[in-house]
Amino acid sequence: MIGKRKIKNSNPMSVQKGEAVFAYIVMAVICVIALFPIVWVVMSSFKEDLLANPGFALPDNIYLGGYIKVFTQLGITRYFANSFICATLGTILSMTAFSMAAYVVARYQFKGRGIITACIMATMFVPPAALTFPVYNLIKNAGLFNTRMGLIFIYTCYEIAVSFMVIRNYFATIPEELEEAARIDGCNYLQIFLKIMLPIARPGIFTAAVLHWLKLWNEFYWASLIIVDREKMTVPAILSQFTTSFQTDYNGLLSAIVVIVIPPILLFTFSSKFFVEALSGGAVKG
Amino acid sequence: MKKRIISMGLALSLLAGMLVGCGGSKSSADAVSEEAVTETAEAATEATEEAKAESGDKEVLQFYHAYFHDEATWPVAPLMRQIYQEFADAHADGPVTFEAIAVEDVLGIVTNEVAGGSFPDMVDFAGNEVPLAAITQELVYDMKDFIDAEGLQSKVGINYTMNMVDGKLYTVHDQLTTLGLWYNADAYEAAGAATPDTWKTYEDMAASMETLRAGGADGIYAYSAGQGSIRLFNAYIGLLNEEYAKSALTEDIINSEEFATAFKTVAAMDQANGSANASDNVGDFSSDFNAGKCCTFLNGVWGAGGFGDATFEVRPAVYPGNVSLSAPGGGLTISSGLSEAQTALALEFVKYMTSDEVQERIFLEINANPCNTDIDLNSLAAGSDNDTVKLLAEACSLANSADKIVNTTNYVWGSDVQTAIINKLIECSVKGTDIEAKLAELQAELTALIG
Amino acid sequence: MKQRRNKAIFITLFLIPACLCFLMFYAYPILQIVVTSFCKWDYTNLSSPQFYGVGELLTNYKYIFTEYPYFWEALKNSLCWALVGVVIQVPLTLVVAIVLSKGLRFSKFARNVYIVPSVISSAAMGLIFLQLYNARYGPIQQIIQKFSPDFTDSILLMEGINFWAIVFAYVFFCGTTTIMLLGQIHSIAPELYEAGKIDGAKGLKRELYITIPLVMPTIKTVATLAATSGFLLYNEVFFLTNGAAGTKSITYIIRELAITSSRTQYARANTIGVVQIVIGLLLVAVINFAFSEKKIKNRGGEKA
Repeated sequence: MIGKRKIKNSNPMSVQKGEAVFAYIVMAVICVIALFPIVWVVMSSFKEDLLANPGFALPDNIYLGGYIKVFTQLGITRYFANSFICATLGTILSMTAFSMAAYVVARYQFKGRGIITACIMATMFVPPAALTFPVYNLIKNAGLFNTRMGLIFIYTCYEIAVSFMVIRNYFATIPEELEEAARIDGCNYLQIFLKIMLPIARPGIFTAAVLHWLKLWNEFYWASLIIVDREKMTVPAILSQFTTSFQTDYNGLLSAIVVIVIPPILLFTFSSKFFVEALSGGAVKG
Repeated sequence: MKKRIISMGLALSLLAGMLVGCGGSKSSADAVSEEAVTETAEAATEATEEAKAESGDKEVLQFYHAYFHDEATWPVAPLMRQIYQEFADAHADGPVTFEAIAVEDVLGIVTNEVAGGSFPDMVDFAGNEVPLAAITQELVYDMKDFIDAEGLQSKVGINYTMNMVDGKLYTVHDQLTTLGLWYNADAYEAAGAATPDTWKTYEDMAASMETLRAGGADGIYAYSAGQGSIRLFNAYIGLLNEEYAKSALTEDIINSEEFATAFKTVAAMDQANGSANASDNVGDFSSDFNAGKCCTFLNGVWGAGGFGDATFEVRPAVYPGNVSLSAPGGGLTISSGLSEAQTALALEFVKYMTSDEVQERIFLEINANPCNTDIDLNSLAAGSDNDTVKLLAEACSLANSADKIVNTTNYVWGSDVQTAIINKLIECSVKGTDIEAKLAELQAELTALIG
Repeated sequence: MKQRRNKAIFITLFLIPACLCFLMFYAYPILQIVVTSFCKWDYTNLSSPQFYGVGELLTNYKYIFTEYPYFWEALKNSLCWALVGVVIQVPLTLVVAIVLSKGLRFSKFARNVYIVPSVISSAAMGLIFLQLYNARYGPIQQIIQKFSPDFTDSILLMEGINFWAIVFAYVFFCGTTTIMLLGQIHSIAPELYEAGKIDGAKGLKRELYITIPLVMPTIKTVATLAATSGFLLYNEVFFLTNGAAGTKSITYIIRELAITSSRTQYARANTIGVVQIVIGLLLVAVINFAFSEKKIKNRGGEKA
């Protein structure tokens, strides 16, 4: 029946020598591309005056002023906690709502299906400037201004099209025999979704969740608008600390960028074991 | 096992989804029956705020400002917050509680409030323009009668003229955005270039720049273009016709001889200076100036505190023809929808911020050019042993006593126009660009933008 | 009968959260964008937009199409960025994902490294690239000067070249979509490759005839994401050139009209908003069509 089969990370396909050489070249190139900006940021964050020496040259002496400021004087744990709560809850709620919708849109034929898809896809192209005022008003009228609840609500509804599309396209790839077999076994609609489809679609949902969470981690437009209390501010507010209308403190700013990207990277690295499993998990393909 | 965990997690999140759904539907219902519910919601938020302020049923005057920085990142911010707090403490026993709140995006909050037909109790625009929409919808309070009755004209200084709109004064900024330039006196001397205090015309300035380039060592350049160029353009327009920088941009101004002359002169200077030395953020040049590479730094008087590393003589100056740029921009602005007691306290706060005592602190501690004209900056500086204050006093006095003090076009022409001009000037700095053609493009763009 | 009712209830219940989210968050703004594009709505009447008269209903559209100086430039740029995004990111993502799927040594490391730039916000990326392109000291300028010592201009200000300077600031960083595709490749049953092997599908042929057709739906997702992120490019433009020298994008001019302009031109901004939504949906439709997987029978059971 519907057994889940584990597949080892390496496919049982032979890799020829020429292919391997090509593969290593590609891997080397993407590593260089990916490390290029981050290495520059890390290197530059140790320079006391970036603009005097913004090239790829090593710093003359290692200056830690920016990091000291970020860690000792700004109270970053508070920012981290706020962002973590808002981004994670926003992601969970958003993924729940949109994996449900994506599932029925991908797998069932019903009236209004096209319109719902078009509506959700259209949200991607709504300019934030046009969204701002109605949403700001809604948040104020609901008494959610300056609350984390308000921010979480916004984050649930934020950038829904990408999650919807990623998850829907993933559901669409699952062969229908699975559903039929389950139906014959006497599963109802909810059971089919929970027991069969959802586990198989984990990679799609997980990818969408990672994309969404990263966006929320860096989100500041809405946070700066509806959160007034410093106590409730999110991580990107650390960056704006280093910019005044008169000058930019690049040393502090770059140190802060490094510090801000560390939690997502750690999270990704530690979850990548689960991630790999999720990726190769639902391997029942026709 | 794993399956169970997953299904449990899903059940939980389904539940959460339902809860959000419910909460959500409630708030959408709120949006429908706007008026009535808005009031109760506002009353509710006010109530919680008051509870937080532990002041029973006292009225609150909320004041939004942008000094949110920590001491480590911008020491000025906590000093300003301190000034605000002292006012709040002094009026703690009054009928209205004063509450200063630092927010990240003052302008964003104001814009959205204005779009909904309201205005925060009181805000500090910190030099940004007061949205025209707030004025046309009469959401902001006219302070002119108060200023006149209390005789505060000299305290608010150029606010009284530059921020006056059709006989009404909606905003008073406690510190001025004042611009001249800074130069490296040693480099000028070494190259044999005429110093800025001798410049009568822009030809004089262009000649000096040429001498600096010819006489300077490798890697030395004449001035910081880009954001600096728009300041030169602004000062030049003001020199040619003072009226132009006072009113909204019109087609007559765009197509005037003066506009063309100012643009072409500055653009030609920029091109000779090179596009590598043009940036729309003048702060990018501060390290080069301190390192002696950039000879002329077109930055405001507030730059006085940034020359600690310089090993040469830093001198302030104003623009050719003895012109300076100085304007208050938007500052303390009061909602027109406050109660009498709230309005009284808000006006009291304006009076406090422009009083001699606070204005002296703004000069000595914040290192900004105060708006109050009763203060003698030079004698204050003489009494201080701080080099920054002395340099600042010198720069401010030069600017405040210039033959012509020109308003910044940013405030009167609008920031979209400002961006268009700065972009065209920057484009002209690339070698071989046809300046005449760029001018024609700019004129067409601006005409369409103001239409 | 009961079965059909159950199904209807199930579908409705599952759509409720998403629909609520859409209705609360997006429905009103979208309606407002469309309606006010036929109105006069700017700083003079911010709280009460007014329809233009019958003969002048299209005033805003006329202004945007014929008078507003930046519209065509922005539209051209945005469409080009969308096209470039698809042309570069789709093959790149595909090649990288296939390579990483081989399970060679270091491929896990490479995968984890490749996702790092996606963690950095595009605002921070804009700032970083602004310094990398710095015309006085930036490393990229130094590389150019190795080849052409007389070159002293700023590439961000040179029309045409700056378009590509902006492209290179984002186009190669597609770690998240690579992971997505990688996941799909991993879930291909090995039997298919075994069967292909017997038919003589090896090397490039194997990828072309087995892997790519099977992951087509995800390639479509990647292409859609690439096209839309190119079409909606904003932060890179804002930080690198601030719209100078012919680099404005659609999103940039909408923001400029609605927020930067002291004249608060909401109606005109919304008119471009309508254009952005219509063209955006067209883009999605075109990509759906171009990458449609006709050959694959095992699609979702739509008649369930």
